[in-house]
Amino acid sequence: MTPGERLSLGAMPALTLLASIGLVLIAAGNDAAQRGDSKAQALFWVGLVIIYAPIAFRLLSRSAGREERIALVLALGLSLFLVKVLRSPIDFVRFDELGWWRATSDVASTGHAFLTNPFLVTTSVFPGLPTVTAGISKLADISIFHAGLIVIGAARLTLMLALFLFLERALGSARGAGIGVAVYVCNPSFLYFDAQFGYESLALGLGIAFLLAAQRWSARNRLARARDLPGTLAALLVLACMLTLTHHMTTVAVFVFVAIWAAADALLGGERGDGRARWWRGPALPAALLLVTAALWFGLVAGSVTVDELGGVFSRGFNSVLDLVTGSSGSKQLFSGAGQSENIAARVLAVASVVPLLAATLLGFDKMWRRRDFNPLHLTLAAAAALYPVSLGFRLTQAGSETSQRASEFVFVGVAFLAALLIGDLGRHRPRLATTTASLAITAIAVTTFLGGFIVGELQATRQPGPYLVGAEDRSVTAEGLAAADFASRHLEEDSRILADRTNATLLGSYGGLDPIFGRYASLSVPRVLFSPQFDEADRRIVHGQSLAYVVVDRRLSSGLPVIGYYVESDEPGALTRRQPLAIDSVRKFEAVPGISRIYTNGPISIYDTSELLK
Amino acid sequence: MQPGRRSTDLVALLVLALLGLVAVLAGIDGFVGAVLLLPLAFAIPGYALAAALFPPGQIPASERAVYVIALGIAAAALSGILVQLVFSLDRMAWALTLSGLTLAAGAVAAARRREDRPWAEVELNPVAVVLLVMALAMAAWAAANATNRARDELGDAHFTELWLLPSAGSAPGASKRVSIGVSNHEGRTTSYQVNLTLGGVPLRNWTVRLGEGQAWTTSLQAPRPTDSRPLRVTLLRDGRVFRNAFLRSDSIS
Repeated sequence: MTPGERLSLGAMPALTLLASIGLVLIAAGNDAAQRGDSKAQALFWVGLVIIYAPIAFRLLSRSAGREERIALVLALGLSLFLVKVLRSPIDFVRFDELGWWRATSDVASTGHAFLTNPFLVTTSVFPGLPTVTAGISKLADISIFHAGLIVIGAARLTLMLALFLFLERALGSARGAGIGVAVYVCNPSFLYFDAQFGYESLALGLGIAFLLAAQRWSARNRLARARDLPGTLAALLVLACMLTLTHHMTTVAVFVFVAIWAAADALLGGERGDGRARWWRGPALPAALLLVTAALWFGLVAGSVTVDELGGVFSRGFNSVLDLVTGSSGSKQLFSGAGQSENIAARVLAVASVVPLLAATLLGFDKMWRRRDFNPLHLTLAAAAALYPVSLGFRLTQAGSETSQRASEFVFVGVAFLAALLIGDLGRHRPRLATTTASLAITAIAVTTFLGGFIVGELQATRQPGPYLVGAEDRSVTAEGLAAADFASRHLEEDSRILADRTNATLLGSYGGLDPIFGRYASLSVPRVLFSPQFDEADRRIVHGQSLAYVVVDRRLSSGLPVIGYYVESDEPGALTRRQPLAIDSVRKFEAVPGISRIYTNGPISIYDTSELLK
Repeated sequence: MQPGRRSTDLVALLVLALLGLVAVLAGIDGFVGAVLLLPLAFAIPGYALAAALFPPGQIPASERAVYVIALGIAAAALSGILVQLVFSLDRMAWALTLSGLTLAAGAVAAARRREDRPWAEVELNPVAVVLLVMALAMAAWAAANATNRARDELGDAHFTELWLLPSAGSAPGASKRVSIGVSNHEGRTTSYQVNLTLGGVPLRNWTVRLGEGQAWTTSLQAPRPTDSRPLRVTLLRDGRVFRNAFLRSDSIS
């Protein structure tokens, strides 16, 4: 683009209008779901198709201009972000969101970061998201919810634009970049998980911006553009610091990517335009910057928390795979659990979504090989894509789904590149009709992949609102739970230690200002206090040992099995294998225990004061 | 010759940053405060930083847009994290930090600026404008619909809250101060009978009529409860018991 050039948005306004019609249908579908109307799912899925398909089709076309493609990817990213907002439009309800709400609320109310968060420990050592969100909330005098939407919305736009520019430079084609972004949004985490108010949602945008800056820094033949080096270096430093203070896994993933790129560049890259090969002129410097910031932060502040969290996720995933391979456990029952089961069409779509991506990955490799494409960045992106089949294997295991979920947003950058490389050349020298037919066919495949990815990445129970379900994340958040949390915030001592099921623990730990306790005491699982049919000596030891001031009992837990497989935490007794709901005796046992008082009830939820047992 | 933008945008940054600071000093909040201060939250500092790091012509506008947002968020968070080491991050601290950052970066940007670069023009015909306005309106309608749906979802839940709490600081003795509360979320005006007993022996009762969303609380001296003689509050509606709370012990939190 040259100064003063006129930019044309082409078909973007019309396609944006179509996308907004899709949003209207999704809102109507969610409304129907809340009422139990049978049209709910149809409206929702049609709405998603209307948002995605026309934009994907236009991005495939050869006639769209560069600026139009940029505008289209932004419209796509924003529209899909609004799909998540329409799901929860008045407050945060997901586990991670409420943990970050608590951290942000603490920063806003105390004016300081690095405060202990009782149920999401990582928030205390990754202050990036809560600090900037608290700043917006305090400055503009708006709620944390609205400030959070602004931050994550801005991060989403950054992600879309930076990814487009990064792929454009890598592929040498704006059309390829648009295709790559259209493939990227098919990753199972994109629609809900990466749009939630959480540190990974912010970090993804920052991480891709860092890669973009690293790409600028590493450009060859830079003689004509050396003036941007100081600015690029400064941008890299600021982004490295912010990324490190925001999210551990994205920092590690970006570092590993840039480090591999640097190694490939050193081995295969050759000389840069100034006639000499200097290691610091390539991706090695960005890698070194990120290594230093991460090493300092993880080494001095966040190391143990990071090891606990990431170590836990990876070891559970690894052990799950090992158990599957050795036959110690069966594979995860795909598409069903706790009475929730996908219909045949959804299952077919989910399985079908994987096939084009695997094919694109393999054929993309083949194309690079036949072209003898040893560009260091291309090889690194291909290496990232090679993890996609591996990540699929984790989905077959009980505990590995979480690992697969978290890996997809990084791995898909590579998959998007290979898919764009493959599709970009299709129909280049063919008649217009053949090209249009091919584009329609590819769009249909892309829609299948997009919808199937969402089915894989999000539980059926939580895609749309609906009546209360046991242990179903946001489907378990009800007015009664919010009322109990509000009561706690007004009447109970802040940071009092409590035991509750996952949903109520989340609400009471965030909006309620209390301190939910999980894990183990001695060799005993803390949640057993909720599960045991009688309040026995072991329960008494746990209450005393963990200094539990309150136990919160939700009677509804005995009405069904938890959709996510557990009531409190993933390693509680009976997690993922339970065949019977919690016994009614378990939820009633606190009525007759000496020393325990019921201080609050709203029908399903009761709060029992257990402080007498602490003496 | 098309007009350049040598300092127009930087002057605008300065004005917006100062406006934001004035808004905080004057205690302006609400909608006006949000409009004045939201840009200062990260967009204005981000633009100033991007302008300081990359003078006009060094990078394309699309890439600049990435850095405006990313660097803006980063600068806001990092500066906040540094400031909170010494000061408390209240509204004034944020305003001073972010406007100071904007002014400093703006000064660097002005010093590094060497040439005029005209703004790029976006071609928007009237049809495109109409389409975009319609798209915005439909998205806003979808959001409003979703908001109403979510609020209705909460409003459709009908329940009553009951609590019985010891008041803090009760002096030792035969009696203890307790507070009783009832909150009506039944979706309609409801009459309740509230009965307080000790070991089954009636102590007091109240008749309470509450509208939707209303609450009733009372505080009184009551005999100290024990396991064998719990202090119990029972809530009746339409003559039937449907809630109860109890204190079994004397020395609870």
